[in-house]
Amino acid sequence: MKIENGKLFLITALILLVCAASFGLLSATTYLFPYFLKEELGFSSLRPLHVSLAIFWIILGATGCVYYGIEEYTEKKCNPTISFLQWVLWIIAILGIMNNYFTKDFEGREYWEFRTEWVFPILIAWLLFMYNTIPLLKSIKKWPVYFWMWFTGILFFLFTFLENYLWTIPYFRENIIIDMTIQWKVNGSLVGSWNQILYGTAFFLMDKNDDKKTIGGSKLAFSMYFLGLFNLMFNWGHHIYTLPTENYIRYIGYFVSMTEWVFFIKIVWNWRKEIKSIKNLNRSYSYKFIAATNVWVFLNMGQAILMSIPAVNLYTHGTHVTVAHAMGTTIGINSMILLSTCFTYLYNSKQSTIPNNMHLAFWLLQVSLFIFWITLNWAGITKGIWQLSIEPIQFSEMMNGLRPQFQIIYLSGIGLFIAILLLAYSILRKKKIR
Amino acid sequence: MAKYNCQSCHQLYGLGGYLGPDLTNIYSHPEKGETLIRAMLKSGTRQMPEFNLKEDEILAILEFLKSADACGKADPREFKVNTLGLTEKK
Ligand code: HEM
Repeated sequence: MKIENGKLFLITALILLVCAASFGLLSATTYLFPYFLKEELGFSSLRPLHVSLAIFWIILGATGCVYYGIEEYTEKKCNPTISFLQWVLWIIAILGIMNNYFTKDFEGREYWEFRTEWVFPILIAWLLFMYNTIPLLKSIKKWPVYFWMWFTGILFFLFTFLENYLWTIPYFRENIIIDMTIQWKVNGSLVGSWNQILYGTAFFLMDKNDDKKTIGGSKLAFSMYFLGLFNLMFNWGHHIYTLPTENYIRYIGYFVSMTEWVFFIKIVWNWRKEIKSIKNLNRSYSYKFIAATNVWVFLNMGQAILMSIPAVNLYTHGTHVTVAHAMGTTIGINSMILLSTCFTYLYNSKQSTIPNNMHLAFWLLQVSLFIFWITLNWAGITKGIWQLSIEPIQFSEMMNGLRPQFQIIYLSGIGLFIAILLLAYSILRKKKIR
Repeated sequence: MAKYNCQSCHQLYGLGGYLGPDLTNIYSHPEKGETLIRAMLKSGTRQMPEFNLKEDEILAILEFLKSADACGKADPREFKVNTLGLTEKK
């Protein structure tokens, strides 16, 4: 069987991205036209269809990145039969999950609202992934930072994914506060684990473009890795400020979140340097997407750190600011790194022949996302002010007042959708044939 | 609640979707409570479907919302802010 492990997962992931974006647009439509698809599907199906597919784009994409990265670095191949089996299990699970959503057969917790039996193919697929990749990682003695990040991400995903299903045990399910604390923790840590894989990939791609390969072994990269790991384990505290918990949990959450300033200042610092040298760098699309990631890291981290200040969190918790945070990071950071990987490995074009519609798609993506993100924040803060007002108007009145924001979100959502479609189409059409 | 995916639009302690209101303390709300919950489940709203639930399902939902309500307050106005930017229960 002639299978390219990385390609199999990246192409599948790209198709999932297009599906996720389509359901995102349909979900946004129901904000403006409440009766749209109300009987056939409704928001209760559209939202999980959108969010789960977006998550699968990231997870399968991250899987592809690890396969490409490890195989290239070690110059060895992972077993294609195992990776194919892993892929088949994912496809079975995704189809089953979609079927649950279309038939409104829900179970479980937010973002994972499908029947619990689909956990098993996903779990086995992940174990196969570990079995296939960890021996190759082990074949290298001195690990570059991205090996540590991939390893950590793969391992933490497994733990957190299992933790996500603690609610199946009555002890956890029967206490709402424990159940919710776990959910918030899991949401933070799952994102943290795929971030490890994707940040590792970003470092890997930078090293790949750098003849001296200075990043992978640098002390700075390693200290950032440890800080990232620390945050992955403990920074979910800021998600639960409003739960009835002890005050000390809030203090710890606050303190840990504030350590992220170190990241933030470093990013700004690096970014300044990068802007100076940008003219000398190759301007390929894989580089452009990594450069865009830096800008999005800057914006999202600034927002996230502000949201972690408890006094600010009172205004932003449970509002569209959270959606801005979730979508800003999954699109702005995770998807940009994944698209960069797609351009590195899948796109078959000489740099000088990059067509104009690619420039258009790249900028449409950035500008639409920026408008989308800012307006979500605007809607969220408006709701935040409402929820803290002494005599708030009715919820429905407040939502009606947000209609202009939702209209802007919708229009920029169309822009996002077109950009994603153009990018995916160009990559898939110009696939490298090796 | 999970069966009908209420969380796609509603929240408990701010966790969930954003189309509908937070339901943590709806049960003890002086103007809402059981009567409004029943009415909503029966006729829905523009966006919320009519669920056509059986009485035992309605009772299970009411029971769940009652116990969610009993475990604390999700209203952000219940907190005060101190000089370090930290929040504490009033
Ligand atoms: C094509 C344009 C897109 C549109 C119009 C769109 C629209 C939406 C809408 C309406 C929601 C539901 C908000 C709510 O709960 O009320 C949502 C949630 C979400 N979307 Fe998108 N979306 C798009 C693309 C994407 C992409 C490409 C990703 C990730 C790769 C993504 C990730 C998410 C996530 C993670 C959430 C959950 C947010 C939360 O619970 O806080 N979206 N999106």
